[in-house]
Amino acid sequence: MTERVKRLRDKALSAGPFLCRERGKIITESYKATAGEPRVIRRALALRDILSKMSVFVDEDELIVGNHASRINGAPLYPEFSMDFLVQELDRFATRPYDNFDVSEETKQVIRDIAPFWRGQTHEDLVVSVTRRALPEDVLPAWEEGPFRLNDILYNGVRKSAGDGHIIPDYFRLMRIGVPGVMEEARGALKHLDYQYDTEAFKKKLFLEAVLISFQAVADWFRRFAGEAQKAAAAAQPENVNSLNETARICCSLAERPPRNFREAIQLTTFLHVLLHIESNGHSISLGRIDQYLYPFYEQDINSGVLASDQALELIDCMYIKISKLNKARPWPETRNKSGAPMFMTVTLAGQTREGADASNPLTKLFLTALSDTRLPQPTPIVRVASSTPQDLLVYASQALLEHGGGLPAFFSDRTIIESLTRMGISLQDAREYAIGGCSEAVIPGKSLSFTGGDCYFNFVKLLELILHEGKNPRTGLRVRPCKALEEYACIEDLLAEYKKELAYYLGLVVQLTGITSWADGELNPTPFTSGIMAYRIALGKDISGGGGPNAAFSHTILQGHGTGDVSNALYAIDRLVFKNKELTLRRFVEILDANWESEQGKSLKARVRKIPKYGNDIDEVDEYAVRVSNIFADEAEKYTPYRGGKFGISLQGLTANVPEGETTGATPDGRISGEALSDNISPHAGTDLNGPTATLKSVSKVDHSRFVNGNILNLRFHPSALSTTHGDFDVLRGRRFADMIQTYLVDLKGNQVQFNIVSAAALRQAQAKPEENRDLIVKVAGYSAYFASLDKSLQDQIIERTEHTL
Amino acid sequence: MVFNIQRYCIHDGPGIRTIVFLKGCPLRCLWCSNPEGMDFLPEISYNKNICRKCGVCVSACPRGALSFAQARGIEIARDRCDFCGACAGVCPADALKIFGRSMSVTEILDTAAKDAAFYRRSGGGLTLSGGEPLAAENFTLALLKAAKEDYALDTAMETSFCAPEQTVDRIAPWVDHLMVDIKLMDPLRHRQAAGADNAVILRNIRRVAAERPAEKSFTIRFPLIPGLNDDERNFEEMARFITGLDRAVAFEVLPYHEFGRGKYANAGRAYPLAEKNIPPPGKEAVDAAEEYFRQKGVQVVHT
Repeated sequence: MTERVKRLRDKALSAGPFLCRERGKIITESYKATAGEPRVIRRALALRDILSKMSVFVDEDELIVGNHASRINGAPLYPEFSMDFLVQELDRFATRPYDNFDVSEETKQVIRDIAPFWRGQTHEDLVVSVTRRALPEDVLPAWEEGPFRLNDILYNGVRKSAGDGHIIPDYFRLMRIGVPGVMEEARGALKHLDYQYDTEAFKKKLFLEAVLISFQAVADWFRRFAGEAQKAAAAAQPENVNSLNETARICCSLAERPPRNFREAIQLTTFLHVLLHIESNGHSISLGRIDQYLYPFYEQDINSGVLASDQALELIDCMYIKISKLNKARPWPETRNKSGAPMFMTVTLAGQTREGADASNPLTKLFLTALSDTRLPQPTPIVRVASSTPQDLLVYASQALLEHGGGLPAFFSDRTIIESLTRMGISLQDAREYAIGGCSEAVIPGKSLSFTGGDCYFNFVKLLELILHEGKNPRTGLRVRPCKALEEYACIEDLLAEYKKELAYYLGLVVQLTGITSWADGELNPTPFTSGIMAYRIALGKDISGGGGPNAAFSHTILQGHGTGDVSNALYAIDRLVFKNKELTLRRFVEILDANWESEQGKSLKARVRKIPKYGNDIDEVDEYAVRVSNIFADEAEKYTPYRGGKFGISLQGLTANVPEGETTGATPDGRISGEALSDNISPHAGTDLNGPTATLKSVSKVDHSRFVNGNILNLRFHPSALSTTHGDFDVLRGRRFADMIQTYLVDLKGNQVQFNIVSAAALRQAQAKPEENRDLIVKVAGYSAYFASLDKSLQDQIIERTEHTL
Repeated sequence: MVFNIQRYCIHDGPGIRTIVFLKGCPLRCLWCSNPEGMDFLPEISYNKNICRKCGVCVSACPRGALSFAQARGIEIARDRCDFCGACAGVCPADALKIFGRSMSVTEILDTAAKDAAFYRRSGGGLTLSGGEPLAAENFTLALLKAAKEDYALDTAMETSFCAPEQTVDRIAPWVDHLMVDIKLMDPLRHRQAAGADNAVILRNIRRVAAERPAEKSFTIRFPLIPGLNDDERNFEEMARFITGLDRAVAFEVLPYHEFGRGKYANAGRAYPLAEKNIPPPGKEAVDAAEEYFRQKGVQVVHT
């Protein structure tokens, strides 16, 4: 790490999060001025106004520029999506227990001033009013009670206040044609509109005009950075003058032509990435296969001698630092599901080429080195692992994992993911081009549309609780529909049949809930800029928010089921104790759960349950239930088509929702007490996998991961000694075995994904006790990493309880 | 009799391995870190530190071997315990454990074969350890034979070689990676520190070195214990012995550690090195020892 990078890193780390009022103020003024214009034009004009009026800044140390808020670590306002939480939580942002934001008095005033304009006009307002009218009457009270948590089973609040995001642009194309190239294409498409016979031509014209407005605004925004860089150069230390002048030249050039060298290419990548966050407030906007699309520039510059690899590394460090401080404010309940301020910006590395050869290159390693250099929680580099991936690269990645110390990179299976994509009907060559977006979602960059829809979470454990209460939700007393009486179950198959029936019913509701949010996006918030950098949309003449076109075949709408580990343990416990051993009746079992295991019989039963096998130990009898429940989920989800077309992209994950979702789930037969966190994602329940990491991996691999295109996150925690000598240095021998373990799971056993925390429980407890001294400790949470100190206490506990694997 | 099966081990033979620990050992090394492997019979272990002092084990014991002493926790009348495991079955903290379970060859190998996919990719397999696997001669032989012939597993063994010649001769051919300890060269000091003479050990090493084909690995391991066996004389004799063998062997230094200490208390035993308070050797000491042997022409390896 160079001195420059060190200074930039310090500056970024010392910048506290705050609400930035600029975007909120400008877009409100813009919307007032453009009333009556077609929606897509209004959106483009709003982007133009924001980009021309917002602050842009260039720090004299910076080699890579671009910002979405007026200072580092600002969270812009997106009033067009949701205004209510900004007003309601206005005085609480600063005092949140974590993920808090400073809010200045001026900003508070702006929020109060603009609120009346947006009343009834936001995305959230539309979603709520439509949901109220559209949901069946018997279901509505269970949705209102949440709200957005239908009967504690379905949670669809993610997208009520957020934009689409969840996308990977066509960076390969942008590297080739640049910003002017997109405008060229749009002008070309305009010329060829068929006004006579194409009844949609008028809509296409509006869309293409909006693209032109947006990209012109983008080019002008680049020039504003050129101006800032020149200004900074005038006042800079002598040693920085040249690089600032170079930045100015690059920014001007990118407004006029495609990138011509590595630094221009990485600057354009950063600009586009930041712009996607300015246009709309989606997260999970990811960078795609960066070691592939930047490699031609790198190779050319290295070969011609104008770039050395350590200079390239410094640029990558600068880029990581630059985008690490993109931030957004979420409503408090949503913050709890995603604690640690993640933006889910994934960087995909290695894997295979279109032709199936190993795709790793020298740039792959530089992006890993930058990880140990900068040690930041985001962006999130991931390594695609194929059978052709060299062991040496995986050892290198393991070293980065140890040195980063916060769970990055994560590892994904080419074999499994390519199979799941081809199963969707995507060609093998296209499937090999996949990249990971957000946490663990496999998409084809540029082609797959946003994989969020309503972003619905499905709580597998709560569903079982409802069935065990004959349809009643014990927490709310609501009974959406009755289930069988407990005496009617003669064996576990009867119970599984009921589970399947009820799961199918709730999945039907998912189709509606995600449909409403997806539709509302198209109505209110088209994104002509984002559309312009996706494949096919200009030729099609249609904004991405409406879905459709050739992209639909590449697209999936995310639906995440979570609590797999707990529901498997619960079903196994019921089968063994009630149906096989007949130790007690199912009704008696449920009574014991209702008393939260506190009766005398409850206590001894709890001890008994604790000793029976649990998911995650490579014991077929219990792992079988993870297989069965996941297959029921997949069988049912495959029956439906989401609103935007394509498929439901299912996944067995819930990010950090296992903590809040556990709070609304009562005691369960697996031994959980009421309110306790659920098992996270597809991981075993924290602290119950005791046969070593290979046993855990074997258990998890029994699920057919190729059915889950949106990924099944598996968290494992290792003591640092798993990768280092007793003296703390990386140990290559251990690294090789670690690499073998990863490759066996992902390639031979067809796992989906695995990620690690390399930290001892003792170190985590220390950090919990003394957060001030351990502010830089990063941990892998779900598909993302975050500062440990920034997490909810119960989530911290849950991470500490994850079994610590050693050697 | 097995007292532990541990998966994902990477230091005892190549690749990712599963170690099967067989119970019972003829030696009594003062520094032993697996005291639960010494006796040939099962034993009960009680970890007072994690005990919740709830007392459910007392009523679970069919032989009345447990009693509850508030502050001190559980007291075990070890002579009355028949290792039925009822107490361990109800203990909510897993403070009580039974070490020693009879397992068939098939049971053991089915467990070991669960990680076959990991072995294949990493070049790993099964490692037998103990206790002393050679002490259960017929069982160990059956286990290794089945591992090779029926399960096609790569095999390794950690042994003291404190066994009759014919035992070693029957078993060694079934082991792909043989790891033998040398603790001390002086017979008297060896008897004091390990409870038995080292003549048979050194004789076995010499003989196997003469007969073992070069493609099958043979590693001598040396537990480095400050103040006990790190003197120049011991080093010198050991180096001379190793370089005088009929074939090349790998040599590995294992620094002393105290991780086994808690297990002694749990098993109701006294830690033999308690009063000595030996500090684990630092990096410099280990490096210096390795350098010494390297200088003498010994092939030093790390795993």
